[in-house]
Amino acid sequence: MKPVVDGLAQQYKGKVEFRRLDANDDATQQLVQAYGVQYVPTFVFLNADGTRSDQLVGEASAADLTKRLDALK
Amino acid sequence: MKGPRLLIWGLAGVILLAIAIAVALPSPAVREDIGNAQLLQLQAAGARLVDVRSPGEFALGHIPGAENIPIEELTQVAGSWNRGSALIVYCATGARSYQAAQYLAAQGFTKVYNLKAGIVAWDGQVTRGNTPAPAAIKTNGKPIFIDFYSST
Repeated sequence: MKPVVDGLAQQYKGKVEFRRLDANDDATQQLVQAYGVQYVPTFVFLNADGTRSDQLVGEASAADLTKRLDALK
Repeated sequence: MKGPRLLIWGLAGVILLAIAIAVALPSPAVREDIGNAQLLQLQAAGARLVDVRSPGEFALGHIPGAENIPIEELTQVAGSWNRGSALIVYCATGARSYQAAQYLAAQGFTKVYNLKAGIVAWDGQVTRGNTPAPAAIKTNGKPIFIDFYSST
């Protein structure tokens, strides 16, 4: 998934902040629990005010991700 | 006349044998219909709870702890799930989740449960809206996309 996400990060540069987090890292456990992450990859889409817009679990196509990125406010 | 009669008896025997084998073999159906109390028990035991309705329906109210995977997205998402883990699916009335459960069972998931009457018959707690981001995430005025991955 990394090449797809990296490509989208370039595409949405300046519009959406991209973060890649290791779900097994101790530092990310708070977020893993907060978003109920049980499987990787899990993609979380947050609006500018911090509310969750959407969440996808499992492999996703660039089109699936783009659709949700475009819906972010 | 003996020939056709023998053929008929032979055919009947084959059909009976086929039925006997079908009954004796373990059923491939691993889907089970459950009620509200069973859902809570399974969820407490660690079962994954999946709401297969649309995001709009989910936001109006969903069972606490559920994740929203609309049925049309299930085919692509479920491929990366552990087929041996317990999975509970539900929708509004049990129709869409029935389809989802059938699909999952056919894909090799061995512990699939369908909330038979859906959320309309749910008498437990309901969470409304999308879950707000925890305070740990500070946005800088821009939307955020998080990719949780595993390095191991």
